[in-house]
Amino acid sequence: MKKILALLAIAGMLNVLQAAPALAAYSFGTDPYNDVISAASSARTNYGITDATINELAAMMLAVTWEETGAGQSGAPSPMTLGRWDGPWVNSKSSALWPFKDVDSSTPRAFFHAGVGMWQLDSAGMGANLGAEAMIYSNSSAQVVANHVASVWKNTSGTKASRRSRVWGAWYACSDGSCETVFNTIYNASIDTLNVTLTTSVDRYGGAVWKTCYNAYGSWSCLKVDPTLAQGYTSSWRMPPLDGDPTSGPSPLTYTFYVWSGSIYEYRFWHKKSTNYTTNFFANRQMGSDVRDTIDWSNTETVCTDLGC
Amino acid sequence: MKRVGLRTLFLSLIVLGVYGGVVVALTQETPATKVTLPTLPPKSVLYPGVYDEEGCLRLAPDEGGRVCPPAHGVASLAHDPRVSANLKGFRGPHYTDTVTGQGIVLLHDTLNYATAGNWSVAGLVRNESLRDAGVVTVTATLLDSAGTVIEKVSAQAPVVGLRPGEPSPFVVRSQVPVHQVAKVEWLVDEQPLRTPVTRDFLVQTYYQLPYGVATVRGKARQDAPYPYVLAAGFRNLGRPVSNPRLVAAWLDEQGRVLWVESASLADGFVSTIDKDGIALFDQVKVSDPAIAGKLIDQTLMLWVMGE
Repeated sequence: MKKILALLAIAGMLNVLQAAPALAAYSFGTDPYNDVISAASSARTNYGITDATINELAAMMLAVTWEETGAGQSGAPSPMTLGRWDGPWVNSKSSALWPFKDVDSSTPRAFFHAGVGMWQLDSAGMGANLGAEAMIYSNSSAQVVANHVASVWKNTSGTKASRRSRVWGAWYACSDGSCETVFNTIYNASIDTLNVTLTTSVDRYGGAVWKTCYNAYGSWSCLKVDPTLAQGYTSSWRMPPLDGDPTSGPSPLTYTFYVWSGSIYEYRFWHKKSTNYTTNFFANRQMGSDVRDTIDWSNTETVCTDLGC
Repeated sequence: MKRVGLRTLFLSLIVLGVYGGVVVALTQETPATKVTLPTLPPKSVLYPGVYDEEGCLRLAPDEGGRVCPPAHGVASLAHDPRVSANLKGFRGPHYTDTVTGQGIVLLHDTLNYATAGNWSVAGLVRNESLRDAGVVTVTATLLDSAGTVIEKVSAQAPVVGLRPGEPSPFVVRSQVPVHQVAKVEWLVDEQPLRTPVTRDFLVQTYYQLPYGVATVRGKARQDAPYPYVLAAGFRNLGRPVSNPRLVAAWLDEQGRVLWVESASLADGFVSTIDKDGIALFDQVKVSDPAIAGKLIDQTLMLWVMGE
């Protein structure tokens, strides 16, 4: 069975690679794309879907990313995309994302981005049980999204367009019908082919890298997220003002941080050498909960990273 | 019949008071007792392709291996009902893991009385017994300053099958002007369920949109005049379920119930959702300017139940 799935996944990929014209409007990272195809294939099998192809499911997944990241036809969505539109101008609870929940903080760029990755998974919703490392890493996030897409597809009836609208009901960026437009641009149903330009310049992590974090009790792997090294389209989320505007947005853009997750908490750590602030910043939120409800800030924790202790 | 009657009596609680005044419990069961919370499965069960049994992130086959969290992590987390919890079929605060044994009780701190117009109240009840409750009815007997009954009004709590420690919202409305009501006598009653319910759901909120705001995240809204919107759904973690229903309540800054809404499965979904199936509810939309503008900032509580 695994071989069949692999063949199906490869078949889907070849469809794209062969059919994509050189100047196709929408682009996507090659490895992230392969993750999407693979996840769509697995989800299609797991949910026993017979009325949508792998490419069709993949197109539903992909369509969300250009809208959620704001990349549109301007570039490949970055797996590192960090949401900049969470703040008190929308929801007072979002103030919790600023260091020590202070929107007037003089250190605003130790900011805890809630919406993360190409699908902008958020702990308030589909990302509640995922750490930011899994929201970024396309191999993980694609699986979560594929299961959502396949399951909603499986549990709906009606026209294909109406079922797609239900699939996309989880993303605000699709609420104006734009995902349907993208879907119809990138997917040719008559020959079951995706029309996406692939680029190797965007990897699964969008430029984030695994590092070793350690303290007095041991060491572990943590994902280093440095927005200055982000791959793919970044204009919609690395724009000024980098300190943010807590009155009307955007929220700050974080300095480099390190993230890891256990069974109970997601942790993020900002080393003072990367922020140039006088102290380190450390935040955790309970897995399964909205960060806005359970975040806890500290600057007394010591975590050593590739920048030292 | 006798058993039902006894059980109802056993779980009933009469509360006398003036707008949340003195509480008099007529029946009592046992002292404070720990109950088992309906915790969600670990992330390795929720996302088996993403995390392995040890909670390590699985890497793609061509990368190989896995990335594991620190071995010295916190072993457990004390439950605090003041903090929003994400449990099976429930998301929000006020779910306690220690019950008093007093049956179904009003949570007085959550009661939110109308200050003008006709008398009404929204609030929470909580199952403080050691067993699942059925259908909870809250009855308010309204009395004037002379102690004369002027109206008796009841309402069912929209969440049925309350588990031990679980809260439910309720709203009771009357036809009597607020200024005529001097005293309220409460009765919280419970009847068995006719149809068993399941609560084995992962509750998911997808997004909320603020009232009256035309552009969100740089994108123009298409739903003028821009109501408050809540988009939510669920993943079924248990047996096949029909008639899933969402109940939502918002708590204000003082922890009082500001508003209660419910929603059914969105159009287009099949009537029975299988295990691991994901489905969305009709969007909850609130357009009343007096309320809708506040909801985005309030503490959201969500319940999902199905048959």
